[in-house]
Amino acid sequence: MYKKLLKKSKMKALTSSYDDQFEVSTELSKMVGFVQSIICESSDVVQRDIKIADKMKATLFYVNGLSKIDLVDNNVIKPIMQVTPETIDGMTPDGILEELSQHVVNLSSFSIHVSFDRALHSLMSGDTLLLIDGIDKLVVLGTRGYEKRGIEEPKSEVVIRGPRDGFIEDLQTNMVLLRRRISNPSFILQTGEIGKRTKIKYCLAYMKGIANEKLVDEIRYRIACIDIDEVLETGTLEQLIEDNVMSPFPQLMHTERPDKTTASLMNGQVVILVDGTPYSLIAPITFQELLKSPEDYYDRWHIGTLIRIIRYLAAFFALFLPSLYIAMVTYHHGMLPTTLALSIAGSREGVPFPAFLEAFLMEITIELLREAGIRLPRAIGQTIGIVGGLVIGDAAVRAGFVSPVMIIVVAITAIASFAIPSYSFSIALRMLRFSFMIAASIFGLYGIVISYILINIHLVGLRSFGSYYTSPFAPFNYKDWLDLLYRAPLSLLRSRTDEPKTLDDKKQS
Amino acid sequence: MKKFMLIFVLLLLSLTGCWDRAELEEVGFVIGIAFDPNPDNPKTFDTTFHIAVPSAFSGGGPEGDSGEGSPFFNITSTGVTNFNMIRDISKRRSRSLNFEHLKVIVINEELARQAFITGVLDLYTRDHEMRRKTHVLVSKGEAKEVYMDKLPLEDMPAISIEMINENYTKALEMIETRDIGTISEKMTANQSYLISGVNKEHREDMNISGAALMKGEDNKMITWLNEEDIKGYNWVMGEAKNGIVEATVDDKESFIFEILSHATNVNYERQNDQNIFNVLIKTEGTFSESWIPGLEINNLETIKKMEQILSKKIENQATSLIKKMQEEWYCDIFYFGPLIKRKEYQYWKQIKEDWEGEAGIFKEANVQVNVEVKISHYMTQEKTS
Repeated sequence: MYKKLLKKSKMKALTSSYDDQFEVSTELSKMVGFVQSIICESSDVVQRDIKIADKMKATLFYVNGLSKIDLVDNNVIKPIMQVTPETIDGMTPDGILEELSQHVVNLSSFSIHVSFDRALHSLMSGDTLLLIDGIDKLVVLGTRGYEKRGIEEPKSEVVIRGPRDGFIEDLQTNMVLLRRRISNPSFILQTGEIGKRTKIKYCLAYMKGIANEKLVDEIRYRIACIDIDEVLETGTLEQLIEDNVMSPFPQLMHTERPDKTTASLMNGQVVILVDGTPYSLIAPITFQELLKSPEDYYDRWHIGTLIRIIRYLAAFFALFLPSLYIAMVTYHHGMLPTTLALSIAGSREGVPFPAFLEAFLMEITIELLREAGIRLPRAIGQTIGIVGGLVIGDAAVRAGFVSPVMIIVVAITAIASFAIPSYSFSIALRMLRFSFMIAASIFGLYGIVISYILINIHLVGLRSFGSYYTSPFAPFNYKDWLDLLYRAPLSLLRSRTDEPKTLDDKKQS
Repeated sequence: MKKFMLIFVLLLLSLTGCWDRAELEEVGFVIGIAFDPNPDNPKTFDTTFHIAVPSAFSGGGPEGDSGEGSPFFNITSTGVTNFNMIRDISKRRSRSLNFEHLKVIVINEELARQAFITGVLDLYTRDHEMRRKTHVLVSKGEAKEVYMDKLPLEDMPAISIEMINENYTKALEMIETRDIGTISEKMTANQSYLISGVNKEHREDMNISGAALMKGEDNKMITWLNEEDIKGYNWVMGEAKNGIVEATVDDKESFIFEILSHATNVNYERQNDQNIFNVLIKTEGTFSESWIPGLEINNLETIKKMEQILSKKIENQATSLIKKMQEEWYCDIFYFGPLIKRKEYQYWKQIKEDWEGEAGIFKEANVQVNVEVKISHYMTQEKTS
């Protein structure tokens, strides 16, 4: 179904062009008229009429706030106005442009366009557009400069030991953050534009010589196929280029951390940065990477190993605990130790709902709390946590609404799902947890096993840009197991992971 | 179309689900069962179900102490078959019985002496809800008495019995726990076997010691084996794990030998139409307690002497039981038979039918017991004061 959709979108041409409507001309008033008609009433675009050498009329356009006024004043208007008539006497239009470019305008970026599309796009990005009477060219001068946030610690991925800088909304800065970590000429940063109307800049980053060229081409191709008005976040981009839209599992990884991104680049993965968002996209990924954190490698291997194991345990709890509780309480009483069975039965005495409904109610409550906690201002968010967690939980137990054991189960599940480093993966587990609970309430343990098998069937079939999603579990690779459930000392981790396939497997010799 | 079919099939699955659904709190957990003869009608028997009351177990509960009442109740039903009696309870109490946590089955001695055990245990061995780890015991006196009073520490008498039963390694007078799985194995193999005895003497005391001797061919209890017999049995079977031996020097001063390791090796040989069994009991342990004044404990000679006294004692315990079995009860509880089967199969095929019994071959077997005792160390002090 989705393949068809994809094909359809490919066939559509990527056009919403002004070039068809307007043509460059030598007449200034006409050109100014064109520009004015395109930008209409936008009051943030400033028009400034000047004269070159007292005789040639010229008009400048720039966007207030996007362009650096300093640059426009001192590096564009001032030098142009100071051109003496003798300098350009008898020059051809091309000669005048050459003179301007080579002797007058002291800016690093000076480009000449004949297309309105490109020129206006640059104008809207903060450049200055210069129109000169008698010249049928559009001159674009690089005067970009706008306000941006400073580099801060990533909010969503905190580490105890590790660099504290995080990506910001500005693409240029993000590229710098990466380049500063890899000062290698074969580290490629390629920019382009996506979004039919918004024309957001994005950047494709990869290590030449490590990343597979076919993979890079595939990603380039998929991005080129996108025909959508706006891409505001890497999340949108992710959905547009991922392999399986129906899968609950994330097939690309996003991160705010430049160090994590760099590590992925070194593993032969390709990174996509999008202007306007502090999240980078990493592709392709395998399932096990979602349970790794950069900190695993910064700490010594014992600590890394311990934390890894705890994280896998957390994933297990987050996925299975409520459903196991339901199965044990409704079907398999014999699987609990006698004293535990009796004390659970005792605590459930007088609870009006069957275990499934009880678990479902509590899980929904936790989800509500989590959602409310995110939306509320930070100061109130904590209050909600306390009110929800303590007061509601305690009151529910006192009212005989739910059993205390259920509270424990739900609390452990919630904590476990927070212990997973990848947010999108923990959401996937959260969703699957509900289907497990339904299966457990209908079939007991048997249902859980069947659901687990179904999920595994899905997972082994899943590909992320051609990489096996379950590698190194399913295409078994013993070398990768050194860095999987446990992390072996770094001296043993000599090769890159099996997936994605790279041009150079060794990272230590 | 394919997708519709898939959804349809998945929906069909949900119709079959839930058939054995039973919420944990809506189930009556039977922890123990007692079988007694019915005094009025000898054709029927009484079954007493020992059922847990979960609210007494909730460990505080929401209101602090909701578990005021007794943590269990007993209910007796009379009938000819087990299942009928189980369903009879459904008519009388709100929660249906669940046997997944059944710990203990106690059978009245009187019933055990009839060929009763095969019938009574049939349901409890074969039914899907039953577990093979249920302990089986025979009671001296009324079986349901065992469940009447709570013993200190544990909440339910049945749990107490189960836990006492598992102390068999500590006491030489107890046999290894017999669960229903092992017993059904012996029953199908027609072997004689022992079942632990439980004896309730006072209201708040219980004693698990001795054993009922069950004859293999008809599964009837023949007699009780006393504590001395059980000691011998444990020595021959190699099950004296961590028990103690109390011995005396010249019938005067006592001392204690604590067993640390024990292994028994039985060797079978057939010579001149005679079945010879060599039982070699090897044990090692510590000299734990002494009432002997002025004992030179670090003297090798003293240790040797002690070892000799011990080996004599152990040998006596073992041989007297073997003799008793050979001459009085004709029951091969030591599984010497399977030993012949393994070594001399052709011969075993001939004598299989006549192995046990009054005129049996077991009776004539030549059993020799050798004991090797080693006192490996004498605790933390070299001299007794």
